[in-house]
Amino acid sequence: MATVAPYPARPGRGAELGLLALALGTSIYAFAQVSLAMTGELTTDFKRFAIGYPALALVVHVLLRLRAAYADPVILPVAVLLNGTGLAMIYRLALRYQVSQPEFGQIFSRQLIWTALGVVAAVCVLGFLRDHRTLRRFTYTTMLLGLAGLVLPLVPGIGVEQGGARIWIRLGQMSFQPAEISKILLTIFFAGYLVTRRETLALAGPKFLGLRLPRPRDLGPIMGAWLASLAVLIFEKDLGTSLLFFGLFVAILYIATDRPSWIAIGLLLFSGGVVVAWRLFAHLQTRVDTWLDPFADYYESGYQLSNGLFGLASGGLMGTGWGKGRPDLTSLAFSDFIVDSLGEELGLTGLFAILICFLLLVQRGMRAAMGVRDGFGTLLASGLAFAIALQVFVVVGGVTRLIPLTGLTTPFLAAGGSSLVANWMIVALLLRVSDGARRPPPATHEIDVAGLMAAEEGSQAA
Amino acid sequence: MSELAVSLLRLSYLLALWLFVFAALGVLRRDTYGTKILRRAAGAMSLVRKRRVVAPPVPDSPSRPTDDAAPHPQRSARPAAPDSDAPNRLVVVSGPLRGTTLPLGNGLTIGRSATSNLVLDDEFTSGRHALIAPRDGRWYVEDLGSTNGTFVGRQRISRPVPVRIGSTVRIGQTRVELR
Repeated sequence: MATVAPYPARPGRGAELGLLALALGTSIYAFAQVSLAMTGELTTDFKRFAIGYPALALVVHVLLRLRAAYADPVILPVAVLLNGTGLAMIYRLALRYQVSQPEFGQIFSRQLIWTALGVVAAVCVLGFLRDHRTLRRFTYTTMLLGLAGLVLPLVPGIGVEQGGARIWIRLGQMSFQPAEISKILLTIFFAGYLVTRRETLALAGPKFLGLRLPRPRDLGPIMGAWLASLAVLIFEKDLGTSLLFFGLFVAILYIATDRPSWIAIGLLLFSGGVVVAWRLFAHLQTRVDTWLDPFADYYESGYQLSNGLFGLASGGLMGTGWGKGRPDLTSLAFSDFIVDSLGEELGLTGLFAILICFLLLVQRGMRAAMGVRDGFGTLLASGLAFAIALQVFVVVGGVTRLIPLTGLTTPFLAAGGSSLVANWMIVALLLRVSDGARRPPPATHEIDVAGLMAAEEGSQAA
Repeated sequence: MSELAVSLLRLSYLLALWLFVFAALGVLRRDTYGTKILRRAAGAMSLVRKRRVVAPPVPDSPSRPTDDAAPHPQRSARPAAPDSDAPNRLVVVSGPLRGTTLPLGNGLTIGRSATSNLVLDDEFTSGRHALIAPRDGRWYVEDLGSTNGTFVGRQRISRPVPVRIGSTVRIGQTRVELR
């Protein structure tokens, strides 16, 4: 005979500090190598980073000690390492561009500012949001805001079209992708909506080929999400965002209902939509042709992808070392193709370490989802973790020619302010949910007898 | 810089990167949390110690002899001696676990989580679903913020409600009674 007892939960802040020191040390070491390899000395930018970046990370760490003492100890260090590695690569490219392409010379200083803003956003989320369940109250508000963010780039005047996709808005000097923030808002909406609807959607339906299918009238929500993602695909011409939102919805639906048939239906709907869009739009056909054979049209459509692949090849197993490769030969080496740039200079060994960091981040999110005691928290954390996983898969799969290239940013690594701010907010939400998941339930449970008596007397009087 | 220094820098960075990865995995390995399986003797002790905080102990708790081992002057002064009206066990009257009987002891938790005293493997049950505990000689059932609610009779309860012998408490697909 045996009994089951809970492990005492440990806050893990000490372990977090240790890992944070390692992550910061690795980032600063990368920066020092970049600085030495490119200029032969430790630049002022390096010194600014070596002082400012640890300060930012420590602010979040101290806030966690005060406000979310039981939060997962691995999430923050992993985010700090990924962001630091991305900054080092962007700095390395910026130093090169100052010589060759001055129009990109400012990417590093901008990314540094956005990093600070991202950390501020995370601090705000952790500071103001004391319990993730508060967000459930705003289920429909977040839906409206999220959808508004999706259609904002279509508004004439502020929406800008870049590289064939209309997903940016321009405010003064800054351009911003509102879809990145919409991703968080719509995850909150999906989680809040599906946690109340999951019983209906999980009800028995006809069984077909071993899959229990939903009833036709329960298909409403998935059709709505499908039409919305098709609208993004058609009007904004962005396959990546469309795939991200629909995939996110199907994943949360599956987690809420525990029914594999939703995944089958989702894949079927999405592939149908993609085939239709592929027939209609020339730029999607080009993407697919480039994916199948990037060298067929090397100097035109296949140039970027082929050069990225050459970069990965020249990196080999151990990489060329920081600052010793030529990742700048690939266009957009600092945003869409930053994974290829890192693969070139850090090699397969370094790229795998980075991918494992993403895996750790996603796994910790899923673990928080399993541990948290409310259904909304489960769906929220698993949705956010899945969004990171899907995004990494789509980007890394795209630049390594596993799937056609789509325009999504690599979380934390790629240059891009909206993505960085959104990802820091996701990290803050995951930390908040994991705090709820790991915090031991209150040991004493006192029954409020006085209140009970008063209520009984009240009901007798009535 | 010499060729050797370049190689050293390059490899030492990769080493640092992997050092971080393995340190993170090490933290995760040491950070396992959740539940652990204990041998009965050791586990019962720790559970009892916890339960004592939950509610004042009830005198007749045959399943927990450790309770009586500790001297407890306040309790012995209490008049709530064996009373034929006081319920002493919880009986599952319908649902998958029908026929199960548990001693009430000092109170019970019911839910899906493995740490509950009565573990219900039921989709409509929350991890920590309900608590049955005595207070001033009466037994109360309280919902612990479950998703699908705890029902006494047909009424979904929102505050601790007294339960008498024979009154039925429904949790998900399971009905329990105090006897």
